[in-house]
Amino acid sequence: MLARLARRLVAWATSPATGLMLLGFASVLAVWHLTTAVWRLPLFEKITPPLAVFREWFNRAPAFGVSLFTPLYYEHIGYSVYRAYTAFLLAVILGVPIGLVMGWRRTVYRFTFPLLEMLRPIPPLAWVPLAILMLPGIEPPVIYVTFIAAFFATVLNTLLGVLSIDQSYFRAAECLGFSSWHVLRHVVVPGALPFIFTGLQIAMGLSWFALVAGEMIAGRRGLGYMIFDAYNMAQIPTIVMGMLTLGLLGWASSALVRLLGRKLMTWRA
Amino acid sequence: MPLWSAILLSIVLTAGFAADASAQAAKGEPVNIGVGYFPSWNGGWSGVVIKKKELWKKYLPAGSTVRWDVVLVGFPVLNGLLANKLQIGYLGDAPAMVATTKRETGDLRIVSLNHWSPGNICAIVLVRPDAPDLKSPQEWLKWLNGKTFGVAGRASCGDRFTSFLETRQGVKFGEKLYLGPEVIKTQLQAGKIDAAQQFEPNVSQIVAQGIAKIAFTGATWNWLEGSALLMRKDFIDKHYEAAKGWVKADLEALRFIIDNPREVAQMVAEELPGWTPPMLMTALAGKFPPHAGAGDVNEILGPPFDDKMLRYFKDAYAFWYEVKAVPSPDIPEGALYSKLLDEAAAELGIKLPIGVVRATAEVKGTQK
Repeated sequence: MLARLARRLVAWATSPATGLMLLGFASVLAVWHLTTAVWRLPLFEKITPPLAVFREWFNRAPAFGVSLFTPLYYEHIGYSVYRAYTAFLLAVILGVPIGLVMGWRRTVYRFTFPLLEMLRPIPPLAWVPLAILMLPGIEPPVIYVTFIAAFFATVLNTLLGVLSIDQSYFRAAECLGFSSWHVLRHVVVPGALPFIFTGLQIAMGLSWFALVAGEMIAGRRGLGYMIFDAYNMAQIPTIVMGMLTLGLLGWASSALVRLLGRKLMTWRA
Repeated sequence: MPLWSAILLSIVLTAGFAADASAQAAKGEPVNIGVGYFPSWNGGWSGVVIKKKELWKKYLPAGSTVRWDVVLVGFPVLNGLLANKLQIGYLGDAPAMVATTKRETGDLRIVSLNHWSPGNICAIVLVRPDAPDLKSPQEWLKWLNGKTFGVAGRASCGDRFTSFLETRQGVKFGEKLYLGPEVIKTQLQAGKIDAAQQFEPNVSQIVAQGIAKIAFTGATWNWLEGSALLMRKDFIDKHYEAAKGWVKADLEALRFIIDNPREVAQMVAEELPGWTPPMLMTALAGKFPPHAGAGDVNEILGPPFDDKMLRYFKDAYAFWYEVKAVPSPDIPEGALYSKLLDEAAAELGIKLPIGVVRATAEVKGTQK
């Protein structure tokens, strides 16, 4: 088992894809370093160079109080992960069934689609005052603001997934005497699954994206709060550190959804 | 100070400011500058007066231009100064002091702490409307134990005051949340926080709207807080006379605020949707309820950089360091750039402070 894992790791590390990925990261870091620290180009001279960011990130006694070695950093991460995943799960639990029914039943589609299209473009930040007034406690409004962006992406992709199913499958199911439940289980859900998982990847990304807006009202913890707080005090290394952490967590989360999607859709391989 | 001598002093100062405009204008080449302030903080109001009354034309070299950046909150001003999009800015004491520690990005200096207060513009504690009617700050301190409390920003003037309440007065909040001023208002409205620190003119608006009531202010403990006028050092070095001219304009604006508070409230209302002139009048010169322990001095305008102020700066920098807002507990060298203020006051023939804003108007929260 361990040997197989090691072999896979070596194969991954030596593959051309990994090499290209690392080259991509290295190029961005090099451009960032050259423009901010070496050439100090006019538009970049006020941006903190990567070395200064990493010095703060890996510092045992960080100047602005947050680094890999401070418990506060992990407290921020823990709260953000909890909020982003709760928002994402709620978006899946509510968004997928709604999207399936909207795509499957014409009446439901006509009833709800214009409403969805009207609410979808409203940015998460605009929901902040209503979320505070509508929902109890401090955490639910934060999660709601994060959830709202993921929810619409999930519904829309699920809906498109159902609409993309070839109508002949429905006719075949009818000929075979399928009940509505069987049509849903054997035609609608599997047919829409590729779109659903694409939607879930987008929704996962949007959860992290909207988290910064949500955590403006969190009042204490979370990566979004950390970034906003650092912005108030012009602590650029901490801002960049928070941004990179958000990016890495978002990337890992999307990879997790992709992995799950591959497991559930082995029939497509 | 007896009334007659105060009136006499006021006449003398006004006459000094009213001296021949051409004699006051700074010499040198014209400047094209950006100036930032946020009117939703009393400390930005001399900026409003300079803009509305065009006082800058009187004191900057002929042919100069000013681009005004009027924003809703303080940090765009701080970032604008650091990015050299603004050369002059008005900020609360906390961001102003933090700004002086960012020399690698932009060298900023506090040229005047133009608004100073014994805890009556920022160290103000509001409580939800259904809280009991207590009689003194000490009773309120007991009531605050275990309560959910909102503070308008970490490492802010309010954070410094509420930390004082925790460490020196023994208050143990149930939870302390750092929220933006507008979020505090909504959280109070929704009844999710029991109490909060707020600054003026938000206090007057929130109380007038019945969202909260005033509990007490920092004046009970002779608290000190303020708002600063900041300038970029490269601007001062390159256009010293223009920089001094701006300080003169600011001193004249401060005098105008003391002499014409209602007119100032009207000017600010024009820039601040959601606030009415009577509301803003109480934000400036309104009385606090008797149980708040606020005294009758709301603000001291144009104070000099004396020993008392230096002690205040030392304490404040030490606190910002404690909460990791600045990298050192010491005041950065030259951060308090007193030369411009001293010279401007001397050339205008005035003695600092300019004067005091007393609580003589209607009670805060009674004017909608």
